[in-house]
Amino acid sequence: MQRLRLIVVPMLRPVIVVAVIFRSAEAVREFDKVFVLTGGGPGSASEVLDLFTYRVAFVNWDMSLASAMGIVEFMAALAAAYVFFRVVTRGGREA
Amino acid sequence: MTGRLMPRTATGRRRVLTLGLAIVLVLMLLPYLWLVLTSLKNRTDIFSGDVFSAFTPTLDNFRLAFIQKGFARNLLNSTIVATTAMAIAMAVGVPAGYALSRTTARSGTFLLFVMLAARLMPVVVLAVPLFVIMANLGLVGTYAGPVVAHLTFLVPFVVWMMRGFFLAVPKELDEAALMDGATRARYFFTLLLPMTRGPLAATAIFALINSWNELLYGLILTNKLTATLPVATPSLMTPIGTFWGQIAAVGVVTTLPVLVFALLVQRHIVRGMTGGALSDG
Repeated sequence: MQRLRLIVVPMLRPVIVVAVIFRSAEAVREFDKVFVLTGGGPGSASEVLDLFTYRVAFVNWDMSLASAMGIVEFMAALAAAYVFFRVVTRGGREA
Repeated sequence: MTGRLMPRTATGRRRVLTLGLAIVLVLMLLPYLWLVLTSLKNRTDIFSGDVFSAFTPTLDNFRLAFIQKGFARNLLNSTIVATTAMAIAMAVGVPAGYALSRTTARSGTFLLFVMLAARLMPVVVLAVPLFVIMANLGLVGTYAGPVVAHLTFLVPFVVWMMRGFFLAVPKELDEAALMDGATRARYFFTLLLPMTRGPLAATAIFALINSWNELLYGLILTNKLTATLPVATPSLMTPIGTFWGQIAAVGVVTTLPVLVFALLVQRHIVRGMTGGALSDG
């Protein structure tokens, strides 16, 4: 147990960080399951970001509002990517 | 400390671990088993309330969905879109991954960053511009539409994954081959690619699966004739009732190739995911 906690997990840190970041990014991008299971309902209780953008663009056909939302989402992705990129390149030099 | 979670001996510990993993495995596989069973049942058996009891298996659901309701067509669409997108992504992404694994130039680093941003971006961000472009080009409802759309996430994926594998190939090998008079292209095609056959196959299959499972772009860029399997499946949930048996049948057929391929490349999958993290950037 100690070997696992003190040696294996710390050594795997860069890998774990990568996995966490990718998983959270994918969780934010979740679309399929919500779309099929609830369609955002009941009401808008399960309306995730992707689904909301989709509805604005392809149900209400408000392309410009959806584009504006897309730009903000893209900025958020850029920020996440920057953090991730730093982790990957720095983690590499240590390993 | 009393009541330890882990027994003291190694064999005891192994036993606890095996049991734990077995429980998790069963929990994760049960829904899939449910799906497979449902696809083989008639309508009465599906709602009998007893999922795992004996029943008379029938292939009616497969026949109804694929032959009568034309899901064979969707299967073909999915195959065409996924293989084309995968082939183009590999043709573009693999050389790019190699180049980016060898460069130290700022522009190269910047390109890598852009590729990463593209991977982390919500797909819906590109859905709007892609739809407008495709509509203006008259490509909505063709195979080209979803193929191009899938490339927006497949190419960064292939680049990042292959770059990780190429980083594991020592630079000295490049230098030795170039020293012996091979051109870079010749080295790349006759030495490097055969050497990374396993990773190449894993990346290709992963790209294939990603494209195969994609829903959103397929939803907005296809019509009734070119819809892929994930796009067409919800059409079985109708106002007069949901055809669970047929949905399950389509589900089984959709997951079957993914399952087979995943088992084939299982060994390379984990390494590919984490390869970029451990090698130096």
